[in-house]
Amino acid sequence: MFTRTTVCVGASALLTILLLAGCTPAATPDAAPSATVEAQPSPAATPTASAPAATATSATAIGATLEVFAEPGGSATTTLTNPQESGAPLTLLVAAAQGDWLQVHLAQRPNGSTGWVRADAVQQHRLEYSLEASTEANTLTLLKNGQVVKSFSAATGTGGTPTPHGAFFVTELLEPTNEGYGPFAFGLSAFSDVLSSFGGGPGQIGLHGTDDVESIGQSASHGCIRLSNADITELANLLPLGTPITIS
Amino acid sequence: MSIDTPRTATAWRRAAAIVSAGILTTALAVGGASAAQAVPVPVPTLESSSAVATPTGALTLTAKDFAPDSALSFTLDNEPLATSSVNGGGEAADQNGSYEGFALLPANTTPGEHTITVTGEVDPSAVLLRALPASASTTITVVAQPTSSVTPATQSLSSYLKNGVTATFSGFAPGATVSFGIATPGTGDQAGPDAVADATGTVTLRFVPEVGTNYANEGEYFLSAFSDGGAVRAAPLTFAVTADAAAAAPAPVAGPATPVKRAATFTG
Repeated sequence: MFTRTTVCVGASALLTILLLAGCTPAATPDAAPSATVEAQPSPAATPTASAPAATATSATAIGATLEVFAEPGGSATTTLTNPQESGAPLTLLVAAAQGDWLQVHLAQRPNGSTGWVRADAVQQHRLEYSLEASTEANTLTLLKNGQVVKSFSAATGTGGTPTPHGAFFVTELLEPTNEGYGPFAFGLSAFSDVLSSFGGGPGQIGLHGTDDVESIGQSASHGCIRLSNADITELANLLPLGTPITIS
Repeated sequence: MSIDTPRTATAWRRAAAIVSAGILTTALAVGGASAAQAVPVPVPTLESSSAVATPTGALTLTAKDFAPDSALSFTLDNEPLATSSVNGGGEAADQNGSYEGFALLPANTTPGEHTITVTGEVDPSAVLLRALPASASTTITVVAQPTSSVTPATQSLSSYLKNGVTATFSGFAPGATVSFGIATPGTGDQAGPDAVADATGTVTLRFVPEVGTNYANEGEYFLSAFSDGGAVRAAPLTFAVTADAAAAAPAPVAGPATPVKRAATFTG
């Protein structure tokens, strides 16, 4: 656990943050009137990046709710709704299996959270694709069954609003009705270590397109990973929910 | 003539007197002056290992003072009661006129007092040419069987080997020492150490099989709990162990996600 210091700042302060972060104007209009900034978490709260398996498994909830347990056979700690608030099916990434139980990665703070679900409460699918993002090289690499298929130039977070590192997964695919995200936007299970809210959302990291072509290949975002609209469209036609993504 | 003990002692004394008179008459007829005195006739007895039992409970029956090698038959309330000699020698008194054997009370035995009777022959005297029929009885109190339950009643083999089963038996006498057994249709063994029934008469058994034994396989198993040497036996209990599910077919490959039209709120 880490100590969280929450500070609400006004629109002017947000503008300052955005400017310091080198954000493009295209991203600012949809930012919420206020943003919440939280202190950097301790290293213990940040999951260690690990290489994705050659193939992974997703777990999509069958019922209207999905109970999550701290351990197999233990007490339910939370109940997730299906579909998600966005309307996308509730899909998680399987971390391990034990008897009739599955350990799953969760899309919640702190990053790297896991829990256990009953195997018979989900539909499992094999995931052939995975992603690897580099915040240093500003690239996103697509792999199929562990083999590199293609690399894309990407924009990642700035020094002030860095893209969090760790092993995450794709939670949803949106066809945004607002500007700034290009034609498609994947939600990731990662959350900003700096912004606890953004644009009315919880500071969730996305993988999306952009009309700001100049930012591609730069450390220019609030933490999201941006691709060209053509590249995000290519991935949108390819990637299933649950697709693992490792950010390092 | 039948000689009952101990309830019909007066009748027996009357009968013994008659027998003695007969012996005297016989002795006089053969000119034996020493036989003028009455000869005591043995009084057979029957004892049960427990005065309290349940339906299906096991009793050890001990009969004495019958004629050597006398064939014996047992009844429960005048209905035939199957017995099994402890020495496997058949349902007969030994050379000393004694018998020890097991009997299982029928499952439909009702609660209350019941009478077990053994019938055979006594040998009143070597002087007599033939033995005399005789019987002995004992009374037992039948009580209801303790109830039993097991969790889980059915599970996979891998789960069974890891977690075992837990059985609860209620209705024993508080403080009674209860023994446990496990059996398959072909074998049976002790299922665990004895336990003492608590103040409510309840005992719990957790049985985890030892890999490699007769009880660590797929199949149906029977658990038993009993006290008083088996006379008080809990209601029968069974559980099943099923084969592990075959390796699941590979999960289908996930297809591309379906986009949802709505405003995005990612950090941008």
